[in-house]
Amino acid sequence: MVVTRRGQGDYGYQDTYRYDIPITSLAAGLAPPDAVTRAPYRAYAYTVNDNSLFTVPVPIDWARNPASTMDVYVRWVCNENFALATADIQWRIVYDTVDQNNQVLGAAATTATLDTGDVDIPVTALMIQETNIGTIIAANLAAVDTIGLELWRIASTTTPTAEPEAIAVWVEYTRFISTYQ
Amino acid sequence: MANVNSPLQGYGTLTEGRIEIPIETLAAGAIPPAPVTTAPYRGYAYTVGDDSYFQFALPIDMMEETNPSTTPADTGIFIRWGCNETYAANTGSVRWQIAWETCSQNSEVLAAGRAGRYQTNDIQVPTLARQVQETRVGDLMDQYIEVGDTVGVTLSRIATENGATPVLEPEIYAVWVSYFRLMQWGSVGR
Repeated sequence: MVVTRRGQGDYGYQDTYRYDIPITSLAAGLAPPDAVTRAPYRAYAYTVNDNSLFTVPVPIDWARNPASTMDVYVRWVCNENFALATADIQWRIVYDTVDQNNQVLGAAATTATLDTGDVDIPVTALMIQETNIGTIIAANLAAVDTIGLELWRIASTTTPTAEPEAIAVWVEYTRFISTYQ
Repeated sequence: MANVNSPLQGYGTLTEGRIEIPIETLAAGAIPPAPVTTAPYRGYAYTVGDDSYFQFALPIDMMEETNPSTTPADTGIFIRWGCNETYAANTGSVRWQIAWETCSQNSEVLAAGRAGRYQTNDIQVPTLARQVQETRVGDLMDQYIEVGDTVGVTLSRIATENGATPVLEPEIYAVWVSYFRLMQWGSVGR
């Protein structure tokens, strides 16, 4: 395609946009979470150290001049209220970005691990909580990179009896829409 | 390319759009590839004859060609792949193929004439192990496609014609469809 990777024009507008991860992508990992149905929602329940691996592109309309960051979000629930055990959980992402002609995890690897710290489970059972797990810094991104992502639940201070369940995952970024090229 | 005038869609700015195919979609096929984990990446390793089926919709913002018989194909299927073997090890090559079919509502799946098949040349595995290579495997022919069509694709690794087969299998890390996207200017008043 002729327009692939053309520089973005000087004129346009920016807004916040997101790239949604299909929820079924969470099913694969080194120690994958269990599928859970909260009809009509589909979710994945993570015990400590469960993880999911999936791939995300740096979208073609990602604002590159100046380069912008990308934030990884999860919406999750826990079938337990906070008052029961004042429990918390912790999420982690591990990412690496690669462009064509570079090696996966090679010399130019841009790997990082980001932890949320302890996050209290919601006050009410099955109440949705939205958590920004971490920011992929602009310096590690280039247009149309391929991003490998791991989503982990890791140990926290007070573990709930019920497992937290992820029901949505997405990456939020600044989009640039050219009006002239 | 600016100030594009499509009689179907009016004036707007033409840019590239992409449809990302979730990587786990590659797990389904007549002889599906094997999943490979190079954390945090997930890939699929294809032996010769392995294939994956997936489908997607041609998006509402796709620009339809006004004269497809005289313009180049705009909609292409791309992969990013690597091989855990250096080219120097076995001077290996691989060859990829797509076969696609498209249908609109009220048309018959696998109807004759709205299908295509492309294959790449023999492509040397990259110089370095798991060095990512981007390959345009093939195109959707403009005269056969319309906005809103459902497109079914079979992505295969096939035998090379002349090159040596690498000892290790090539791994696909990303698949997408690239198309011309028309961003219309202005809006309809009330």
